[in-house]
Amino acid sequence: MKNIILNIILALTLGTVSAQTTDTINTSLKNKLFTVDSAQFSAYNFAKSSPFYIKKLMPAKFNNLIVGQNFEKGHLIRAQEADKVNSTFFSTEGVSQLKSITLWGQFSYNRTVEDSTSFSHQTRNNLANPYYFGSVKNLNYQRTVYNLKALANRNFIQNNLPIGLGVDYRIGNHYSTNDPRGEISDYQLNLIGSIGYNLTKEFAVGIAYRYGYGLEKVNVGYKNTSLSQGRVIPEFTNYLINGYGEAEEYNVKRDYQNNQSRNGLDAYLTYENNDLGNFNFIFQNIKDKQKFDYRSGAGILEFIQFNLVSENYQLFWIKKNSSNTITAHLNYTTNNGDNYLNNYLANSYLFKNKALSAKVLYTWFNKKLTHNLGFGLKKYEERKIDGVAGNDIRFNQLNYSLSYGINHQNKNNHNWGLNLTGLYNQYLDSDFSVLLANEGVFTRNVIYYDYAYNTTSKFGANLTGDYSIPIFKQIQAGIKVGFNYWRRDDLREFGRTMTKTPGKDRFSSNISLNLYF
Amino acid sequence: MKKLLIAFTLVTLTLSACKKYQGDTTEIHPVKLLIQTSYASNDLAKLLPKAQVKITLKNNKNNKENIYYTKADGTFSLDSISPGNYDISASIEINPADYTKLTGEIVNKNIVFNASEKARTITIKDNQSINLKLLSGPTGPWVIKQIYFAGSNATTGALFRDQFIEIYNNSDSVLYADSLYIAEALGIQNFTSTNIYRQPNSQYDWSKSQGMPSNIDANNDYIYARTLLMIPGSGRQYPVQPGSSIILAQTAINHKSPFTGADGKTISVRDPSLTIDLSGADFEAYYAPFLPRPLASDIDNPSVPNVDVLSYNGTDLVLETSGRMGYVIFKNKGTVDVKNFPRYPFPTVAPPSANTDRYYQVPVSYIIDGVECQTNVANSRVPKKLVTSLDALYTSVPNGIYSSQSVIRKTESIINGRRILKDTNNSAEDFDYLPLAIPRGFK
Repeated sequence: MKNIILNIILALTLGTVSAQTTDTINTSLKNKLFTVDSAQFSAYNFAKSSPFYIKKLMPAKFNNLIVGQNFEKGHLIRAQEADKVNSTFFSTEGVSQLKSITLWGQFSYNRTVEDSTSFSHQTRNNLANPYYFGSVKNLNYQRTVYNLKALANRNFIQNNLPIGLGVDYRIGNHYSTNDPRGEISDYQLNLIGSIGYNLTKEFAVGIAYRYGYGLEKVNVGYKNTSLSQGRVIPEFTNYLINGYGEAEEYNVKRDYQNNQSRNGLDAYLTYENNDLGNFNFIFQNIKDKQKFDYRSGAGILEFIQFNLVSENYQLFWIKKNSSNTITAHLNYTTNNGDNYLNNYLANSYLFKNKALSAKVLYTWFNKKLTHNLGFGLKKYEERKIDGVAGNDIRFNQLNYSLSYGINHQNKNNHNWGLNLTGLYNQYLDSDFSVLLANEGVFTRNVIYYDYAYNTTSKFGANLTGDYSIPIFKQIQAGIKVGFNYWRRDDLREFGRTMTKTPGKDRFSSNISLNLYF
Repeated sequence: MKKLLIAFTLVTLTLSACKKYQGDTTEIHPVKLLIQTSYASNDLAKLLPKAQVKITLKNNKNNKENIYYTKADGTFSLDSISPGNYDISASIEINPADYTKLTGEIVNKNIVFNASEKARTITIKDNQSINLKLLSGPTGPWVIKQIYFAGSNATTGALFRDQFIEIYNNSDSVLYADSLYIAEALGIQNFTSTNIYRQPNSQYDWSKSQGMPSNIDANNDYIYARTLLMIPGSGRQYPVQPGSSIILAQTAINHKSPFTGADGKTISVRDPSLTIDLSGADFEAYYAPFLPRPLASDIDNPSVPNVDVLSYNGTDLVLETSGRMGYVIFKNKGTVDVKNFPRYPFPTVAPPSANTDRYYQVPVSYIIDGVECQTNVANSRVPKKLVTSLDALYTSVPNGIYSSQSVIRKTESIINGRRILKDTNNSAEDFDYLPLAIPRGFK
């Protein structure tokens, strides 16, 4: 099985690389302009969700490479996020045709330094996870994540039977450099196989099966062993968070393993019409099972199980005209998680969220200018219930975004672009029920803090600018700079004493070198 | 085409119905709990107040403590308490005037009644209840003031060599330490052994010990001593002034300085600030004379008298460094010589062998003061060894094993320069800790 997976990865990666060697200067400019067209580029991103769509919504050829640096600072964050984040990233991706096979591949590397984060010995990829360690002490976390993705699609039986395969492999290492030192190693492998059928020239249906597994190994230790019991300097105490209630002091056997497996089904429906445009519908259902246990020479002690069922409905519409493109993307996602505590033989924690979003992008071309106008609306609701603690917390938000961008291409194929986005996160309503009898450090530092954060409205703006030029005849190279700023309204009073509150604002910036070839 | 669309819709709906758990409520939720307090003595129950009994619930998961007070009928209802493991105690303190008025008995200090349940599991079932029987224990002239069981850092400190117990004259009169007994109360050190008879609280069921009379309450009226030591003296040889104390050291030397062990090798500490000077101790335990292979660090300080050893464990007075032990002091007030107290083996399921260890049975009625210690790690704590009348709960040092910390009794008041230490027979209330043990120190 492992060999088959490796062969698929190698074939798809090499396919992408071979495509890169045949590009020309026209291709590089075309690829640059493709990313400028927000509407078309959103179709490309939509197609990454399944091999079923890569022939339909991706260009025949596209390659890019990005190297960049991201910096965030400010205290307007969730309780378990980092005050400062400094990340270096590298990503390359491309679409290519290998005879009748369409290939898409992406490799990314991300190294992040978080300073500081508390109550969060976890990866940033499994946030619904209810079982993890944490401490009041702010930690400096360093994370390195490698991700390899590949999708392939080939049409059989006179181009009427598209069959696709995909792989998504991620490996990460996360560790803190001060006590209590967390070390988390994780990997995830997800596979997808899809099959479709073109019913008519306009209609096609498809189905896909997803399977994946992964592992997270977590360990917390102390370099200064005198801090390991943590009670004289309480902020060094290691806690076990098991749900969304007050945490348990946990100063022995500070390691566990999270074994994950998942499977799911996708269903697809597409309708292509020259007049009406291209309609694409995805239904996706993934069931993720996580088992948390402690392993030693004496055997395996299973603590909890966590099931997460994700459902996703997407409708993506794109209509291309000679001088403009318009897309509309409707998305409805739900995640429902429930745990099972082995020591109680019962469920105690429920995690629920749902997001309904709509995004419209309109791109029009006027001589050497490309204009992008976008509007997005997203309603997000989240609820966490902890039965042991007696906590039930829900909030509801509405997020708006309005953007305008412009790109100009000079005679000598130099491009400059600017994009401005206005953002507003509106608090709608919430429920708050937390047993005062259980109020402790986690309740005050995380539960109250996050409730305050999630129930205040925020507004922000994003400004990006980029400039690119052709180099070495085959490459369009550009520098992109972005700035983002968020600020919150006043916090809502909810009758509890806060030990710390979310800060007023958050600033982030990034700079990247972008190559298109 | 229509059929295909219907099929597609059906597949979609079927998939969306495949969730494992449905609903907005968890299977576990906070439960209702009724706490009922009553006096163990039926006679006192008719006279003493039931209202305002202080109920303390400590959640052993997060050490969160909540305090409630009973209603006039001695009960308190909690509408929602998280399932889990709790240390529960009840306590009422009645001032001398009220107690005399209510009972007719003349007393000169506050009378404290305690009750407790350690490590009580509140299950996920609703409408549970707990009955707590309030008892008044002895509040004698002597109290155990400080216990330094944790020892100091195993690498840079003195390990367990610097342990000591301090006993304090809490009265307003001169007391004599002669023939004062100090004992370690024996109890089970785990929750899991199956080859031994246990009580419902998981402690040894001593009533099943071989040879135990059936007409006594072996579990509640006695403790069983692992180590039993006696202060020597002629009867008036070791006076202790009011507000003063005596220190019993494992080895009465200055542990900050190097010394030559019994094996001729030098014993030293890398970081003297972690340990203490016990050369001024009043007594020491010296086991070497009767051991075939004594501990190298167990040397005799000729200027410090040695205690008489009636029963011992190990190669020196090595206290359980994580703390899981009960300590009692008593004086003989009967006609039977303590050396002739009956001795019993562990209540093993299999009959004990002829040469199995047997432990002194000490009547609770003899005991002047008792302190139960536990480890700071909640899930490593063991069943209680001392009955509620001696110590309702327990005390511990926050930083645990080899931390240099000691448990120390709190000062309740100072009268004419003499400190009166708190003694409500609940060490969870009466004790605090010192970051570094201080012989004859106060908190």
